Amino acid sequence: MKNWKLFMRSGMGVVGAIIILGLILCATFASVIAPYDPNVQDYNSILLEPNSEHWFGTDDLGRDIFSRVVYGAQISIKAAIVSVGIAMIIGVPIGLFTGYYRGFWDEWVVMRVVDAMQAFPFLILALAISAVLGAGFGNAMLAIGIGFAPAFIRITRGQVLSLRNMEYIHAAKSVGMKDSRIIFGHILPNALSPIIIQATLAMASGILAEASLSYLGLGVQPPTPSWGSMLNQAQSLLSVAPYATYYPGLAIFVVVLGFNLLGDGLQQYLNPRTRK
Amino acid sequence: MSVILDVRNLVTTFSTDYGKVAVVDGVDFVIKQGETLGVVGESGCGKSVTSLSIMGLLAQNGKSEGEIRFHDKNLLQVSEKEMQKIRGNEIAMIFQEPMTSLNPLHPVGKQIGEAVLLHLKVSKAEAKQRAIQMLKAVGMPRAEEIYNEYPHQLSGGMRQRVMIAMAMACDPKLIIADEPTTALDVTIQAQILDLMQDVKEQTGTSIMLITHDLGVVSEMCDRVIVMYAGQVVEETDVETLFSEPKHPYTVGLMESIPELGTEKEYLDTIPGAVPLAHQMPTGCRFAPRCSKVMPICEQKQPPLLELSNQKCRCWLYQEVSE
Repeated sequence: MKNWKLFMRSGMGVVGAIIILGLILCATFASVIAPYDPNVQDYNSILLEPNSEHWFGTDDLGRDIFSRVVYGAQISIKAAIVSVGIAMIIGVPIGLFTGYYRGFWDEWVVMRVVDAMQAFPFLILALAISAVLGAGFGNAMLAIGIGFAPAFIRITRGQVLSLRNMEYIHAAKSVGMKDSRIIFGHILPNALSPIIIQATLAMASGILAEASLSYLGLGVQPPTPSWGSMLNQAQSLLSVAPYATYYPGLAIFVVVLGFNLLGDGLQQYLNPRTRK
Repeated sequence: MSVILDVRNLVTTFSTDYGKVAVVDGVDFVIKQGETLGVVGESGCGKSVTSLSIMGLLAQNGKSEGEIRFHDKNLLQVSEKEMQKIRGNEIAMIFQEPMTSLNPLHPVGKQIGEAVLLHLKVSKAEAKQRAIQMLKAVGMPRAEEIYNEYPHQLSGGMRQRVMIAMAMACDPKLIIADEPTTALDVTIQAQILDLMQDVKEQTGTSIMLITHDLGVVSEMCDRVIVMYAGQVVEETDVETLFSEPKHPYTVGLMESIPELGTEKEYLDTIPGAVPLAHQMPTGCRFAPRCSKVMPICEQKQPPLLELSNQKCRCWLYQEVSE
Protein backbone atom coordinates (compact mmCIF):
# COMPACT_ATOMS: atom_id res chain seq x y z
CA MET A 1 0.00 0.00 0.00
CA LYS A 2 2.77 2.38 0.93
CA ASN A 3 4.50 1.75 -2.38
CA TRP A 4 1.29 2.34 -4.25
CA LYS A 5 0.80 5.70 -2.55
CA LEU A 6 4.36 6.68 -3.36
CA PHE A 7 3.79 5.86 -7.01
CA MET A 8 0.53 7.84 -7.00
CA ARG A 9 2.59 10.90 -6.13
CA SER A 10 4.56 10.66 -9.35
CA GLY A 11 1.73 12.60 -11.07
CA MET A 12 1.99 12.09 -14.82
CA GLY A 13 3.16 8.54 -14.27
CA VAL A 14 -0.34 7.72 -13.04
CA VAL A 15 -1.83 9.19 -16.23
CA GLY A 16 0.55 6.96 -18.21
CA ALA A 17 -0.44 3.93 -16.15
CA ILE A 18 -4.14 4.64 -16.81
CA ILE A 19 -3.52 4.93 -20.55
CA ILE A 20 -1.63 1.63 -20.60
CA LEU A 21 -4.33 -0.01 -18.51
CA GLY A 22 -6.92 1.24 -21.04
CA LEU A 23 -4.82 -0.22 -23.85
CA ILE A 24 -4.59 -3.58 -22.11
CA LEU A 25 -8.36 -3.64 -21.47
CA CYS A 26 -8.99 -2.70 -25.09
CA ALA A 27 -6.80 -5.54 -26.32
CA THR A 28 -8.22 -8.10 -23.90
CA PHE A 29 -11.87 -7.32 -24.47
CA ALA A 30 -11.55 -6.32 -28.13
CA SER A 31 -14.30 -8.71 -29.19
CA VAL A 32 -16.67 -7.17 -26.66
CA ILE A 33 -15.81 -3.55 -27.29
CA ALA A 34 -15.64 -3.64 -31.08
CA PRO A 35 -19.12 -3.38 -32.62
CA TYR A 36 -18.06 -5.06 -35.90
CA ASP A 37 -15.69 -7.78 -37.05
CA PRO A 38 -12.55 -5.84 -37.97
CA ASN A 39 -11.99 -7.79 -41.16
CA VAL A 40 -15.51 -8.01 -42.57
CA GLN A 41 -15.90 -5.98 -45.70
CA ASP A 42 -19.20 -4.21 -46.22
CA TYR A 43 -19.45 -2.82 -49.76
CA ASN A 44 -22.62 -0.92 -48.92
CA SER A 45 -20.77 1.31 -46.53
CA ILE A 46 -17.49 2.26 -48.15
CA LEU A 47 -15.58 5.34 -47.03
CA LEU A 48 -18.26 6.61 -44.70
CA GLU A 49 -17.38 9.59 -42.58
CA PRO A 50 -17.61 9.11 -38.81
CA ASN A 51 -21.26 8.76 -37.82
CA SER A 52 -23.39 7.21 -35.09
CA GLU A 53 -23.10 3.68 -36.56
CA HIS A 54 -19.44 3.82 -37.52
CA TRP A 55 -17.88 6.04 -34.83
CA PHE A 56 -14.56 6.43 -36.63
CA GLY A 57 -16.00 5.94 -40.16
CA THR A 58 -15.17 3.13 -42.58
CA ASP A 59 -12.28 2.48 -44.95
CA ASP A 60 -12.24 1.81 -48.70
CA LEU A 61 -13.31 -1.82 -48.16
CA GLY A 62 -16.17 -0.85 -45.87
CA ARG A 63 -14.45 -2.09 -42.69
CA ASP A 64 -15.30 -0.32 -39.44
CA ILE A 65 -12.29 1.79 -38.45
CA PHE A 66 -13.23 1.91 -34.73
CA SER A 67 -13.28 -1.90 -34.58
CA ARG A 68 -9.97 -2.08 -36.40
CA VAL A 69 -8.36 0.45 -34.03
CA VAL A 70 -9.62 -1.58 -31.05
CA TYR A 71 -8.22 -4.82 -32.47
CA GLY A 72 -5.03 -2.98 -33.41
CA ALA A 73 -4.40 -2.59 -29.67
CA GLN A 74 -3.73 -6.34 -29.53
CA ILE A 75 -0.95 -6.07 -32.08
CA SER A 76 0.52 -3.04 -30.34
CA ILE A 77 0.59 -4.74 -26.94
CA LYS A 78 2.15 -7.82 -28.47
CA ALA A 79 4.68 -5.67 -30.28
CA ALA A 80 5.60 -3.84 -27.10
CA ILE A 81 6.01 -6.99 -24.99
CA VAL A 82 7.59 -9.29 -27.56
CA SER A 83 10.11 -6.83 -28.96
CA VAL A 84 11.23 -5.59 -25.55
CA GLY A 85 11.18 -9.18 -24.23
CA ILE A 86 13.54 -10.29 -27.01
CA ALA A 87 15.77 -7.26 -26.39
CA MET A 88 15.96 -8.04 -22.65
CA ILE A 89 16.60 -11.74 -23.15
CA ILE A 90 19.53 -10.86 -25.40
CA GLY A 91 20.73 -7.72 -23.67
CA VAL A 92 20.46 -8.26 -19.92
CA PRO A 93 22.51 -11.51 -19.64
CA ILE A 94 25.19 -10.16 -22.00
CA GLY A 95 25.36 -6.96 -19.98
CA LEU A 96 25.56 -8.90 -16.72
CA PHE A 97 28.35 -11.23 -17.79
CA THR A 98 30.48 -8.72 -19.72
CA GLY A 99 30.17 -6.23 -16.89
CA TYR A 100 31.05 -8.78 -14.23
CA TYR A 101 33.93 -10.55 -15.95
CA ARG A 102 35.25 -7.62 -18.06
CA GLY A 103 38.31 -8.49 -20.09
CA PHE A 104 38.88 -8.90 -23.81
CA TRP A 105 35.39 -10.10 -24.76
CA ASP A 106 33.75 -7.21 -23.01
CA GLU A 107 36.09 -4.49 -24.15
CA TRP A 108 36.91 -5.50 -27.68
CA VAL A 109 34.08 -7.70 -28.92
CA VAL A 110 30.74 -6.97 -27.27
CA MET A 111 31.19 -3.27 -26.68
CA ARG A 112 32.54 -2.60 -30.17
CA VAL A 113 29.62 -4.50 -31.74
CA VAL A 114 27.27 -2.48 -29.56
CA ASP A 115 28.98 0.73 -30.69
CA ALA A 116 28.60 -0.30 -34.32
CA MET A 117 24.93 -1.14 -33.84
CA GLN A 118 24.23 2.08 -32.02
CA ALA A 119 25.95 4.08 -34.75
CA PHE A 120 23.00 3.21 -37.03
CA PRO A 121 19.75 5.06 -36.59
CA PHE A 122 17.54 2.52 -34.85
CA LEU A 123 14.83 2.32 -37.51
CA ILE A 124 17.33 1.85 -40.33
CA LEU A 125 18.88 -1.04 -38.40
CA ALA A 126 15.49 -2.66 -37.74
CA LEU A 127 14.56 -2.11 -41.38
CA ALA A 128 17.76 -3.76 -42.59
CA ILE A 129 17.33 -6.78 -40.29
CA SER A 130 13.67 -7.02 -41.28
CA ALA A 131 14.54 -6.89 -44.95
CA VAL A 132 17.02 -9.75 -44.50
CA LEU A 133 14.61 -11.89 -42.46
CA GLY A 134 11.58 -11.12 -44.64
CA ALA A 135 8.25 -9.49 -43.91
CA GLY A 136 5.92 -10.68 -41.18
CA PHE A 137 5.10 -9.93 -37.55
CA GLY A 138 7.52 -12.41 -35.98
CA ASN A 139 10.48 -11.25 -38.03
CA ALA A 140 9.61 -7.62 -37.38
CA MET A 141 9.63 -8.33 -33.64
CA LEU A 142 12.99 -10.07 -33.88
CA ALA A 143 14.39 -7.15 -35.87
CA ILE A 144 13.14 -4.61 -33.33
CA GLY A 145 14.32 -6.78 -30.45
CA ILE A 146 17.83 -7.05 -31.88
CA GLY A 147 17.80 -3.33 -32.55
CA PHE A 148 16.93 -2.61 -28.91
CA ALA A 149 19.37 -5.10 -27.40
CA PRO A 150 22.42 -2.76 -27.39
CA ALA A 151 20.61 -0.28 -25.16
CA PHE A 152 19.93 -3.05 -22.65
CA ILE A 153 23.49 -4.37 -22.85
CA ARG A 154 24.84 -0.90 -22.13
CA ILE A 155 22.49 -0.02 -19.31
CA THR A 156 22.92 -3.41 -17.59
CA ARG A 157 26.68 -3.43 -18.01
CA GLY A 158 26.93 0.10 -16.66
CA GLN A 159 25.02 -0.91 -13.56
CA VAL A 160 27.12 -4.03 -13.06
CA LEU A 161 30.36 -2.09 -13.44
CA SER A 162 29.44 0.14 -10.55
CA LEU A 163 27.85 -2.62 -8.46
CA ARG A 164 30.70 -5.13 -8.78
CA ASN A 165 32.93 -2.83 -6.74
CA MET A 166 30.42 -2.39 -3.95
CA GLU A 167 31.62 -3.74 -0.63
CA TYR A 168 28.63 -6.03 -0.25
CA ILE A 169 29.69 -7.81 -3.43
CA HIS A 170 33.19 -8.25 -1.98
CA ALA A 171 31.50 -9.41 1.20
CA ALA A 172 29.40 -11.92 -0.75
CA LYS A 173 32.61 -13.25 -2.32
CA SER A 174 34.30 -13.38 1.05
CA VAL A 175 31.65 -15.73 2.43
CA GLY A 176 32.37 -18.09 -0.45
CA MET A 177 29.47 -17.38 -2.78
CA LYS A 178 29.62 -18.61 -6.36
CA ASP A 179 29.79 -16.11 -9.22
CA SER A 180 26.41 -17.16 -10.61
CA ARG A 181 24.77 -16.62 -7.24
CA ILE A 182 26.42 -13.24 -6.90
CA ILE A 183 25.40 -12.17 -10.39
CA PHE A 184 21.77 -13.25 -10.22
CA GLY A 185 21.10 -13.00 -6.49
CA HIS A 186 22.95 -9.85 -5.58
CA ILE A 187 23.87 -7.82 -8.64
CA LEU A 188 20.80 -8.25 -10.86
CA PRO A 189 18.22 -7.20 -8.23
CA ASN A 190 20.22 -4.07 -7.52
CA ALA A 191 20.55 -3.29 -11.22
CA LEU A 192 16.89 -3.81 -11.95
CA SER A 193 15.31 -0.38 -11.60
CA PRO A 194 17.07 1.34 -14.51
CA ILE A 195 16.43 -1.79 -16.59
CA ILE A 196 12.70 -1.57 -15.83
CA ILE A 197 12.63 2.10 -16.75
CA GLN A 198 14.51 1.40 -19.96
CA ALA A 199 12.06 -1.42 -20.74
CA THR A 200 9.03 0.86 -20.33
CA LEU A 201 10.52 3.54 -22.54
CA ALA A 202 11.61 0.91 -25.06
CA MET A 203 8.03 -0.38 -25.23
CA ALA A 204 6.94 3.02 -26.52
CA SER A 205 9.64 2.87 -29.21
CA GLY A 206 8.70 -0.77 -29.87
CA ILE A 207 5.11 0.18 -30.67
CA LEU A 208 6.33 3.05 -32.83
CA ALA A 209 8.82 0.78 -34.60
CA GLU A 210 6.19 -1.90 -35.23
CA ALA A 211 3.87 0.76 -36.63
CA SER A 212 6.70 2.08 -38.81
CA LEU A 213 7.65 -1.35 -40.13
CA SER A 214 3.99 -2.23 -40.73
CA TYR A 215 3.52 1.13 -42.44
CA LEU A 216 6.40 0.24 -44.73
CA GLY A 217 4.85 -3.15 -45.38
CA LEU A 218 7.48 -5.18 -43.49
CA GLY A 219 5.48 -5.83 -40.33
CA VAL A 220 1.98 -7.14 -39.85
CA GLN A 221 0.46 -8.32 -43.10
CA PRO A 222 -3.07 -7.47 -44.23
CA PRO A 223 -5.81 -8.02 -43.33
CA THR A 224 -4.70 -8.15 -39.66
CA PRO A 225 -5.36 -4.68 -38.26
CA SER A 226 -2.26 -2.91 -37.06
CA TRP A 227 -2.19 0.84 -36.54
CA GLY A 228 0.86 1.13 -38.76
CA SER A 229 -0.57 -0.87 -41.64
CA MET A 230 -3.87 0.99 -41.31
CA LEU A 231 -1.98 4.26 -41.76
CA ASN A 232 -0.24 2.76 -44.78
CA GLN A 233 -3.52 1.84 -46.42
CA ALA A 234 -5.22 5.11 -45.50
CA GLN A 235 -2.40 7.15 -46.94
CA SER A 236 -3.52 6.59 -50.52
CA LEU A 237 -6.97 7.84 -49.57
CA LEU A 238 -5.69 10.95 -47.83
CA SER A 239 -7.48 13.35 -50.22
CA VAL A 240 -10.76 11.40 -50.15
CA ALA A 241 -10.99 10.21 -46.57
CA PRO A 242 -8.50 12.03 -44.33
CA TYR A 243 -10.34 10.79 -41.21
CA ALA A 244 -9.11 7.24 -41.97
CA THR A 245 -5.61 8.38 -40.94
CA TYR A 246 -6.67 10.36 -37.87
CA TYR A 247 -7.64 7.54 -35.56
CA PRO A 248 -4.82 5.04 -35.98
CA GLY A 249 -2.43 7.99 -35.78
CA LEU A 250 -4.11 9.28 -32.66
CA ALA A 251 -4.03 5.80 -31.09
CA ILE A 252 -0.28 5.51 -31.73
CA PHE A 253 0.27 8.98 -30.31
CA VAL A 254 -1.74 8.37 -27.14
CA VAL A 255 -0.22 4.95 -26.39
CA VAL A 256 3.37 6.07 -27.00
CA LEU A 257 2.70 9.07 -24.78
CA GLY A 258 1.26 6.71 -22.15
CA PHE A 259 4.38 4.50 -22.10
CA ASN A 260 6.66 7.51 -21.93
CA LEU A 261 4.71 9.04 -19.07
CA LEU A 262 4.76 5.70 -17.24
CA GLY A 263 8.51 5.41 -17.83
CA ASP A 264 9.11 8.90 -16.45
CA GLY A 265 6.82 8.17 -13.52
CA LEU A 266 8.66 4.95 -12.72
CA GLN A 267 11.98 6.74 -12.98
CA GLN A 268 10.81 9.24 -10.42
CA TYR A 269 9.36 6.53 -8.22
CA LEU A 270 12.26 4.07 -8.37
CA ASN A 271 14.94 6.68 -7.82
CA PRO A 272 15.01 7.58 -4.11
CA ARG A 273 16.55 10.94 -4.93
CA THR A 274 13.66 12.15 -7.09
CA ARG A 275 10.94 10.44 -5.07
CA LYS A 276 8.56 13.01 -3.65
CA MET B 1 49.94 -23.23 19.94
CA SER B 2 49.73 -24.52 16.44
CA VAL B 3 50.27 -22.29 13.48
CA ILE B 4 47.15 -21.94 11.35
CA LEU B 5 48.32 -19.46 8.75
CA ASP B 6 51.87 -19.30 7.46
CA VAL B 7 52.60 -16.65 4.85
CA ARG B 8 56.00 -16.99 3.21
CA ASN B 9 57.59 -14.57 0.81
CA LEU B 10 54.26 -13.26 -0.44
CA VAL B 11 54.69 -11.06 -3.49
CA THR B 12 51.54 -9.52 -4.94
CA THR B 13 51.91 -7.65 -8.19
CA PHE B 14 49.44 -5.64 -10.22
CA SER B 15 49.85 -5.05 -13.92
CA THR B 16 49.28 -1.37 -14.46
CA ASP B 17 50.11 1.31 -17.02
CA TYR B 18 53.57 1.50 -15.39
CA GLY B 19 54.12 -2.19 -15.94
CA LYS B 20 54.14 -4.79 -13.20
CA VAL B 21 54.10 -3.18 -9.80
CA ALA B 22 54.73 -5.14 -6.59
CA VAL B 23 52.40 -3.75 -3.95
CA VAL B 24 53.28 -6.47 -1.45
CA ASP B 25 56.93 -7.42 -1.69
CA GLY B 26 58.16 -10.44 0.20
CA VAL B 27 55.95 -10.52 3.25
CA ASP B 28 56.39 -13.29 5.85
CA PHE B 29 54.32 -13.86 8.96
CA VAL B 30 52.49 -16.55 10.86
CA ILE B 31 49.26 -16.56 12.81
CA LYS B 32 48.87 -19.06 15.60
CA GLN B 33 45.65 -20.53 16.84
CA GLY B 34 43.69 -18.23 19.12
CA GLU B 35 46.03 -15.34 18.52
CA THR B 36 45.30 -11.81 17.38
CA LEU B 37 47.87 -10.49 14.95
CA GLY B 38 47.83 -6.78 14.32
CA VAL B 39 48.92 -5.48 10.93
CA VAL B 40 49.82 -1.83 11.16
CA GLY B 41 50.90 0.71 8.60
CA GLU B 42 49.76 3.82 6.82
CA SER B 43 47.40 3.91 3.85
CA GLY B 44 48.80 2.22 0.77
CA CYS B 45 51.42 0.13 2.56
CA GLY B 46 49.86 -3.13 1.39
CA LYS B 47 47.85 -4.17 4.45
CA SER B 48 44.59 -4.66 2.64
CA VAL B 49 46.22 -6.21 -0.41
CA THR B 50 47.85 -8.76 1.88
CA SER B 51 44.45 -9.72 3.28
CA LEU B 52 42.85 -9.88 -0.16
CA SER B 53 45.73 -12.09 -1.32
CA ILE B 54 44.98 -14.50 1.50
CA MET B 55 41.30 -14.57 0.54
CA GLY B 56 42.10 -14.84 -3.17
CA LEU B 57 39.94 -11.83 -3.89
CA LEU B 58 42.40 -9.63 -5.76
CA ALA B 59 41.19 -7.60 -8.72
CA GLN B 60 41.78 -9.21 -12.10
CA ASN B 61 45.05 -7.41 -12.73
CA GLY B 62 46.51 -8.64 -9.45
CA LYS B 63 48.61 -11.78 -8.96
CA SER B 64 50.15 -13.35 -5.88
CA GLU B 65 53.27 -15.48 -5.64
CA GLY B 66 54.97 -17.15 -2.74
CA GLU B 67 53.20 -19.34 -0.26
CA ILE B 68 50.12 -18.90 1.90
CA ARG B 69 49.86 -22.08 3.93
CA PHE B 70 46.56 -22.54 5.70
CA HIS B 71 46.46 -25.86 7.55
CA ASP B 72 48.01 -28.15 4.98
CA LYS B 73 46.97 -26.27 1.85
CA ASN B 74 48.75 -23.58 -0.09
CA LEU B 75 45.92 -21.12 -0.77
CA LEU B 76 47.71 -19.79 -3.82
CA GLN B 77 47.47 -23.16 -5.49
CA VAL B 78 43.98 -24.37 -4.68
CA SER B 79 41.26 -24.10 -7.31
CA GLU B 80 38.67 -21.34 -7.26
CA LYS B 81 36.06 -23.93 -6.31
CA GLU B 82 38.03 -25.09 -3.30
CA MET B 83 38.70 -21.47 -2.39
CA GLN B 84 34.94 -20.80 -2.34
CA LYS B 85 34.61 -23.57 0.22
CA ILE B 86 37.30 -22.01 2.38
CA ARG B 87 36.00 -18.45 2.18
CA GLY B 88 33.40 -17.79 4.82
CA ASN B 89 33.71 -21.29 6.16
CA GLU B 90 37.29 -21.38 7.39
CA ILE B 91 38.49 -17.86 6.77
CA ALA B 92 35.97 -15.07 7.10
CA MET B 93 36.35 -11.39 6.58
CA ILE B 94 34.97 -8.25 8.21
CA PHE B 95 35.10 -5.15 6.09
CA GLN B 96 35.80 -1.55 6.87
CA GLU B 97 32.55 0.02 5.76
CA PRO B 98 29.56 -1.44 7.55
CA MET B 99 27.34 1.04 5.70
CA THR B 100 27.99 -0.57 2.33
CA SER B 101 29.00 -4.12 3.23
CA LEU B 102 25.44 -5.40 3.33
CA ASN B 103 23.22 -5.79 0.30
CA PRO B 104 20.53 -3.11 0.61
CA LEU B 105 17.86 -5.31 -0.99
CA HIS B 106 17.93 -8.31 1.34
CA PRO B 107 16.96 -8.49 5.01
CA VAL B 108 20.07 -8.77 7.19
CA GLY B 109 19.05 -12.08 8.75
CA LYS B 110 18.67 -13.65 5.34
CA GLN B 111 22.18 -12.51 4.45
CA ILE B 112 23.60 -14.23 7.50
CA GLY B 113 21.50 -17.32 6.75
CA GLU B 114 22.80 -17.35 3.20
CA ALA B 115 26.37 -17.67 4.44
CA VAL B 116 25.28 -20.55 6.68
CA LEU B 117 23.44 -22.34 3.87
CA LEU B 118 26.50 -22.06 1.66
CA HIS B 119 28.76 -24.03 3.95
CA LEU B 120 26.81 -26.06 6.47
CA LYS B 121 24.44 -28.84 5.57
CA VAL B 122 21.35 -27.39 7.19
CA SER B 123 17.75 -26.73 6.22
CA LYS B 124 16.47 -23.22 5.62
CA ALA B 125 14.69 -23.21 8.98
CA GLU B 126 17.89 -24.27 10.74
CA ALA B 127 19.83 -21.59 8.89
CA LYS B 128 17.32 -19.04 10.12
CA GLN B 129 17.69 -20.31 13.69
CA ARG B 130 21.45 -20.11 13.38
CA ALA B 131 21.21 -16.54 12.05
CA ILE B 132 19.01 -15.46 14.95
CA GLN B 133 21.34 -17.19 17.37
CA MET B 134 24.30 -15.33 15.83
CA LEU B 135 22.46 -12.01 16.05
CA LYS B 136 21.90 -12.68 19.74
CA ALA B 137 25.53 -13.67 20.17
CA VAL B 138 26.70 -10.30 18.85
CA GLY B 139 24.47 -8.56 21.35
CA MET B 140 21.61 -7.48 19.11
CA PRO B 141 18.42 -6.74 20.98
CA ARG B 142 15.17 -8.07 19.42
CA ALA B 143 17.12 -10.52 17.27
CA GLU B 144 13.97 -12.13 15.82
CA GLU B 145 12.72 -8.78 14.55
CA ILE B 146 16.11 -7.62 13.32
CA TYR B 147 16.32 -10.81 11.28
CA ASN B 148 13.68 -9.34 8.97
CA GLU B 149 15.02 -5.81 8.88
CA TYR B 150 16.89 -4.21 6.01
CA PRO B 151 20.35 -2.68 6.35
CA HIS B 152 19.02 0.90 6.06
CA GLN B 153 16.98 0.35 9.22
CA LEU B 154 20.12 -0.31 11.28
CA SER B 155 22.80 2.05 12.56
CA GLY B 156 26.45 1.72 11.60
CA GLY B 157 27.39 -0.04 14.82
CA MET B 158 24.52 -2.51 14.44
CA ARG B 159 25.47 -3.23 10.85
CA GLN B 160 29.02 -3.96 11.92
CA ARG B 161 27.60 -6.38 14.49
CA VAL B 162 25.66 -8.01 11.68
CA MET B 163 28.88 -8.28 9.65
CA ILE B 164 30.61 -9.89 12.62
CA ALA B 165 27.66 -12.28 13.05
CA MET B 166 27.95 -13.16 9.36
CA ALA B 167 31.70 -13.71 9.62
CA MET B 168 31.26 -15.94 12.68
CA ALA B 169 28.26 -17.84 11.38
CA CYS B 170 30.26 -20.85 10.19
CA ASP B 171 32.79 -20.87 13.04
CA PRO B 172 35.80 -19.88 10.97
CA LYS B 173 39.33 -20.68 12.12
CA LEU B 174 40.54 -17.25 11.09
CA ILE B 175 38.77 -13.91 10.87
CA ILE B 176 40.42 -11.19 8.84
CA ALA B 177 39.16 -7.83 10.04
CA ASP B 178 40.11 -5.00 7.70
CA GLU B 179 39.86 -1.84 9.77
CA PRO B 180 36.61 -2.97 11.37
CA THR B 181 36.18 0.09 13.53
CA THR B 182 37.55 2.88 11.35
CA ALA B 183 34.11 3.99 10.18
CA LEU B 184 32.53 3.91 13.62
CA ASP B 185 32.53 6.51 16.34
CA VAL B 186 34.66 6.00 19.42
CA THR B 187 32.11 4.57 21.87
CA ILE B 188 30.83 2.12 19.27
CA GLN B 189 34.43 1.23 18.40
CA ALA B 190 35.02 0.13 21.97
CA GLN B 191 31.86 -2.00 21.94
CA ILE B 192 32.78 -3.68 18.69
CA LEU B 193 36.33 -4.38 19.89
CA ASP B 194 34.97 -5.86 23.11
CA LEU B 195 32.63 -7.99 21.06
CA MET B 196 35.48 -9.27 18.89
CA GLN B 197 37.50 -10.02 21.99
CA ASP B 198 34.57 -12.00 23.44
CA VAL B 199 34.11 -13.90 20.21
CA LYS B 200 37.77 -14.80 20.20
CA GLU B 201 37.72 -16.02 23.77
CA GLN B 202 34.59 -18.08 23.26
CA THR B 203 35.42 -19.72 19.97
CA GLY B 204 39.20 -19.74 20.02
CA THR B 205 39.36 -18.34 16.52
CA SER B 206 42.39 -16.38 15.38
CA ILE B 207 42.07 -12.80 14.23
CA MET B 208 44.17 -10.88 11.75
CA LEU B 209 43.39 -7.29 12.60
CA ILE B 210 44.33 -4.71 10.04
CA THR B 211 44.40 -1.20 11.38
CA HIS B 212 46.27 2.05 11.46
CA ASP B 213 45.05 2.82 14.96
CA LEU B 214 47.76 1.99 17.50
CA GLY B 215 45.24 2.35 20.31
CA VAL B 216 43.27 -0.54 18.86
CA VAL B 217 46.49 -2.54 18.55
CA SER B 218 47.34 -2.09 22.22
CA GLU B 219 43.84 -3.20 23.23
CA MET B 220 43.46 -6.17 21.00
CA CYS B 221 46.63 -7.71 19.69
CA ASP B 222 49.09 -10.30 20.92
CA ARG B 223 51.66 -9.74 18.21
CA VAL B 224 52.08 -7.00 15.64
CA ILE B 225 53.67 -6.63 12.26
CA VAL B 226 54.42 -3.14 11.03
CA MET B 227 54.32 -2.75 7.28
CA TYR B 228 55.88 -0.05 5.18
CA ALA B 229 55.76 0.20 1.40
CA GLY B 230 54.78 -3.42 0.89
CA GLN B 231 57.29 -4.91 3.31
CA VAL B 232 57.29 -5.99 6.91
CA VAL B 233 59.64 -3.60 8.71
CA GLU B 234 59.13 -4.79 12.25
CA GLU B 235 57.55 -7.77 13.92
CA THR B 236 57.18 -8.14 17.64
CA ASP B 237 54.84 -8.78 20.54
CA VAL B 238 52.61 -5.91 21.53
CA GLU B 239 54.45 -4.99 24.77
CA THR B 240 57.79 -4.66 23.02
CA LEU B 241 56.20 -2.62 20.27
CA PHE B 242 55.17 0.03 22.73
CA SER B 243 58.11 -0.21 25.18
CA GLU B 244 61.01 -0.42 22.77
CA PRO B 245 60.09 0.12 19.14
CA LYS B 246 63.20 -0.37 17.01
CA HIS B 247 62.53 0.59 13.43
CA PRO B 248 62.67 4.37 12.86
CA TYR B 249 59.30 4.14 11.12
CA THR B 250 57.68 2.46 14.12
CA VAL B 251 59.31 5.01 16.39
CA GLY B 252 57.88 7.75 14.17
CA LEU B 253 54.44 6.19 14.39
CA MET B 254 54.66 6.10 18.17
CA GLU B 255 55.75 9.72 18.38
CA SER B 256 52.92 10.88 16.17
CA ILE B 257 50.30 9.72 18.69
CA PRO B 258 49.00 12.68 20.66
CA GLU B 259 49.40 12.19 24.39
CA LEU B 260 47.16 13.59 27.05
CA GLY B 261 48.91 15.64 29.71
CA THR B 262 51.99 16.57 27.71
CA GLU B 263 52.17 20.00 26.20
CA LYS B 264 53.24 20.14 22.62
CA GLU B 265 52.74 22.93 20.15
CA TYR B 266 52.82 20.58 17.18
CA LEU B 267 52.35 16.86 16.83
CA ASP B 268 55.36 15.00 15.58
CA THR B 269 54.95 13.76 12.06
CA ILE B 270 57.01 11.65 9.71
CA PRO B 271 58.08 13.95 6.88
CA GLY B 272 57.43 12.96 3.28
CA ALA B 273 55.08 10.32 1.90
CA VAL B 274 55.13 6.63 1.05
CA PRO B 275 57.09 6.13 -2.19
CA LEU B 276 54.99 5.16 -5.20
CA ALA B 277 54.93 1.45 -5.85
CA HIS B 278 56.57 1.81 -9.27
CA GLN B 279 59.26 4.20 -8.04
CA MET B 280 60.70 2.36 -5.06
CA PRO B 281 64.12 3.55 -3.88
CA THR B 282 66.95 1.06 -4.47
CA GLY B 283 68.06 1.02 -0.86
CA CYS B 284 65.90 0.99 2.22
CA ARG B 285 62.37 2.02 1.28
CA PHE B 286 62.08 4.25 4.32
CA ALA B 287 65.47 5.94 3.79
CA PRO B 288 64.09 9.11 2.06
CA ARG B 289 61.96 9.84 5.15
CA CYS B 290 64.25 8.50 7.85
CA SER B 291 65.88 10.82 10.41
CA LYS B 292 68.70 8.34 11.07
CA VAL B 293 69.63 7.65 7.48
CA MET B 294 73.17 6.36 6.81
CA PRO B 295 75.07 5.98 3.53
CA ILE B 296 74.36 2.23 3.34
CA CYS B 297 70.61 2.84 3.62
CA GLU B 298 70.46 4.40 0.19
CA GLN B 299 72.49 1.66 -1.46
CA LYS B 300 71.27 -1.62 -0.13
CA GLN B 301 68.00 -2.94 1.19
CA PRO B 302 68.29 -4.08 4.78
CA PRO B 303 67.17 -7.64 5.53
CA LEU B 304 64.64 -8.44 8.25
CA LEU B 305 67.08 -8.81 11.15
CA GLU B 306 66.39 -11.12 14.08
CA LEU B 307 66.87 -9.19 17.31
CA SER B 308 66.33 -10.48 20.83
CA ASN B 309 62.69 -9.46 21.16
CA GLN B 310 61.71 -8.64 17.64
CA LYS B 311 62.47 -8.66 13.96
CA CYS B 312 63.43 -5.38 12.38
CA ARG B 313 64.34 -4.32 8.84
CA CYS B 314 66.94 -1.64 9.53
CA TRP B 315 70.72 -1.25 9.10
CA LEU B 316 70.98 0.45 12.51
CA TYR B 317 70.77 -2.93 14.20
CA GLN B 318 73.15 -4.79 11.91
CA GLU B 319 76.00 -5.06 14.47
CA VAL B 320 73.67 -5.84 17.32
CA SER B 321 72.41 -8.95 15.61
CA GLU B 322 75.83 -10.14 14.49
